[in-house]
Amino acid sequence: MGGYLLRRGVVGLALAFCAVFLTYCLTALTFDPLAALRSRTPPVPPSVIAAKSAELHLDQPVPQRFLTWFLAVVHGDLGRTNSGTAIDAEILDRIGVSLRLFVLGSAIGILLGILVGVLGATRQYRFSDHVGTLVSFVLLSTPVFLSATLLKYAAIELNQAVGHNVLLFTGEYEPTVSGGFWPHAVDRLQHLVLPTLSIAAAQIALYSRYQRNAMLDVLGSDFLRTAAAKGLTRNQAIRRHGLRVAVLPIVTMLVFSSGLMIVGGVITESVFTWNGMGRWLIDGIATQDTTIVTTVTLFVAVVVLLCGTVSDLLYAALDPRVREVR
Amino acid sequence: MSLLDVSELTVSFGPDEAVRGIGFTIGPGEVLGLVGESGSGKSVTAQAMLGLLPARSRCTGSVRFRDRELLGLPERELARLRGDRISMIFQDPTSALTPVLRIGDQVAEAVRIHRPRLGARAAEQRAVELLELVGIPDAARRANAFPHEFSGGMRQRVLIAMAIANDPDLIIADEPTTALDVTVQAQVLEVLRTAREVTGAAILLITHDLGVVAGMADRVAVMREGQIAENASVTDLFDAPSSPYTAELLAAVPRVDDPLKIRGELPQAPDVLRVHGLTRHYPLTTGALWRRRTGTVHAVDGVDLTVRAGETLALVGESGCGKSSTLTDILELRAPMGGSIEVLGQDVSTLDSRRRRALRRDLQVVFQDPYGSLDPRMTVGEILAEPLRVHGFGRAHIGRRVPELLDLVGLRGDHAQRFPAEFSGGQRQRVAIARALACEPKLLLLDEPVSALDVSVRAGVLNLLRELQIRLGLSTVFVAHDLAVVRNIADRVAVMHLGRIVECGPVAEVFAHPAHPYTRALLSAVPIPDPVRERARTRIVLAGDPPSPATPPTGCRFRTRCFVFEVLDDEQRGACIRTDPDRRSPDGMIDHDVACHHAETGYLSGGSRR
Repeated sequence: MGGYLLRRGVVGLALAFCAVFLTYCLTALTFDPLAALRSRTPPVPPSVIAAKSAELHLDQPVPQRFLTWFLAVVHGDLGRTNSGTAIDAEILDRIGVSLRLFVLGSAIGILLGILVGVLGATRQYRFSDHVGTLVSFVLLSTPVFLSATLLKYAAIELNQAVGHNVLLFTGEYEPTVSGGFWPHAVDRLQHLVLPTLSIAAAQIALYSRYQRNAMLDVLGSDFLRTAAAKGLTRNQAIRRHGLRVAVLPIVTMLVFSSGLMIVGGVITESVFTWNGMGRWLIDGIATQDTTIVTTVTLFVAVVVLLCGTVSDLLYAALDPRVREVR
Repeated sequence: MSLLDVSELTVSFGPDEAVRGIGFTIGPGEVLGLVGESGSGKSVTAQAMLGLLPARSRCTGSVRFRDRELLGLPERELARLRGDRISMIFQDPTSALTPVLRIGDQVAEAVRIHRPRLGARAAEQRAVELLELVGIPDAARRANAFPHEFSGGMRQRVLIAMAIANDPDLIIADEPTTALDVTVQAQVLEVLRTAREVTGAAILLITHDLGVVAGMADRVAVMREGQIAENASVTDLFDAPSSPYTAELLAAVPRVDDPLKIRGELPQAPDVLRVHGLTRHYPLTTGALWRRRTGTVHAVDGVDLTVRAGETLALVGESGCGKSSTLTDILELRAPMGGSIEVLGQDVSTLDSRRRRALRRDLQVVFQDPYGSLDPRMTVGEILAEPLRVHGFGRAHIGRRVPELLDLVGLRGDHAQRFPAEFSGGQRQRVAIARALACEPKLLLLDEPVSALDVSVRAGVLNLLRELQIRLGLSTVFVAHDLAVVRNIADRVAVMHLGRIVECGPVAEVFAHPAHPYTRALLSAVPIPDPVRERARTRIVLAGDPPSPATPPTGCRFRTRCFVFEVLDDEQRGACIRTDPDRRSPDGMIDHDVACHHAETGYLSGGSRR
């Protein structure tokens, strides 16, 4: 087990390095951080531009820039943005913001997705199953920027109907809130609902489709019939024997959907102006900032690889057949 | 008073009636055999009685158990009866247990669901007792294992344990041994007999195997197309079947005790296939990125075979013994991992691709499953024309040859326009045989060609093969797990066990005087479709499972299951433990060789046991 995790970790680090290296080279070669400076009116003196270029090490060849940046990262210094702020100062806050969305969104997405999928399978071709299928397809085929914006409008309607602002859709918290723990908590929650929903909706739709298929397979299986022959009712048999087996394929999905979720997160964060990693990526591209984009890539790589490991461990925990000595 | 009284039972799926107004009764402690071919409605009948059919099915008529109507009973009431008063055992033990739950817990659940007040500990204990009763060795420890750690036979024992957990009045066994090897079938039938003695339950035994029925049942009902063709006591049914269908079925069953139809001495002919020391090992690896070898599966381990021109050699053994691997290696026409293969006098390791292709024409194969081996999108005519086209025959020749081939296998010329889906299993296998014969091969390999077919169809295909042998003078290798099947079609038989051939000789010799204990056990395990002889004979039931080909025992690979080894003294055992015996002809045997240290010592004649 320890050996397995260690091997997994080494491979993970190698993959993360590749992702970061490629992103760094790609952005360093295409980005032009001085463009904004050059196009200013009145024109900035060339000496200023040269100074800025030297400050950002643009005069050095790309491999050397990467090496400098990478060695600093190994020593715990993630570098600076083009405007000179330290990445270190900002990253923890942003990771916190993103993970809050990511963890809550995936937890809700997985749980509700499994529930909807199981119900759909056990009630196959009934009215509720058709509704579930239709809603899932609509959600799956709606791009996040549209669904998130629609959510925002729905919130406005709701707020107007109720008469005061129940759901808030700008930022993570209101800086003006005063008082003790409770007012703050309520404020955070009011901000949290919509983005979480935006991320979870697509997840519910995705997981429920897979879960429905997996459950249908299990419903026709011999061991459920055996359970019924033992004297379990259909529902008992599904609960005690079917579910455990039917969630197995979903566990493998975790790693794939984690990538998808981060992409969705980028747009959700932008729509709801959350200062997480996703919005940072957009900002980074807007300001042609190699360091920011590479940092976000590193974060995404780590999250996806961790999800992969977690899903493998979870699978082994749920399925004794893969629990052989590695 | 009867225990179970079924009358006018009709089961329909939409417009199709699977069961059409059948009726039968079972008395307390009685064993009723329900016999029929696939699709006759026997399994549907059993599941209908317990309400296990999918919701889209509709059942009418009456099923009375102890004078209580079961049809239309609410699910909760039915569930209370299921597994308590009436229990059920299914066909495929590999999928019948929940893969992610421990064996012990699954058995304990069968107990607790009907006795909720029994504590968890007590139920666990009862589970271990039950597992011991059905012959799971080291039951207390094995109860913690998961289903995939059990062999098929052991899983079927577990299912029997669950079925008898609450001392039921009726056990419904739906093809309980069909998915198992003969030797394991013999073991499981033994367990089923024990289960019956312990519980005194009546048994509804559903099977297509008349031999199994002959040994177990008191009465037999024969089903055909959803109706009961005949219902009689087992002796009457086998002695004087009243329905022509039953008579037909009985006549179609190949039997190990049939008189042999000997083809007479074959003239000395050249060898068409010579296999020497053939070895095929598969590595066992773990890990996804750093593959490490953790062991070796010895699938084929030093196989020697020769087939003479015009001869049929049967290769017989249990699943996993390496017979199909041997066949695939021959078909490859490439240098094997170890040993040598010579086809029609050419060493295959020396072939270049052009000669290999030419040789393929002379070497053809028929596979087990005619549903999988024919392309569903090609017409039968296209299927038959393809090999001819590949080997460069002209349009005119193909046009002549296709109807000729169809005629050869007993199909009509106009069948060429149809698709495989329009044919029955037996007809499809005929198409597969015709395809193999298209280019007039010299050597035909048959991989379990009739195992997937029903009894009555099987007889037809076997007759066709026999006829073709004589008419075309084909040399064939016939792979089978069923000794009764090869008895009347092979000239010589080679018995394979765990990657090696343990006995080889003329059919008459091997069947009359089996010299290897494994051959004897195999022969003994085949049930004879004759109630009197089946019940009178002494059976050799091998103990335990076949050893894994990844960890074969030292010395003789059969010694862990060998009943001769059991009665030897330490000194005699030494040879078995130390050295793997080579095949040799014991005194007085001609062209018949055996890989056993003790083939001559006389243990074999007297060494049988129940």
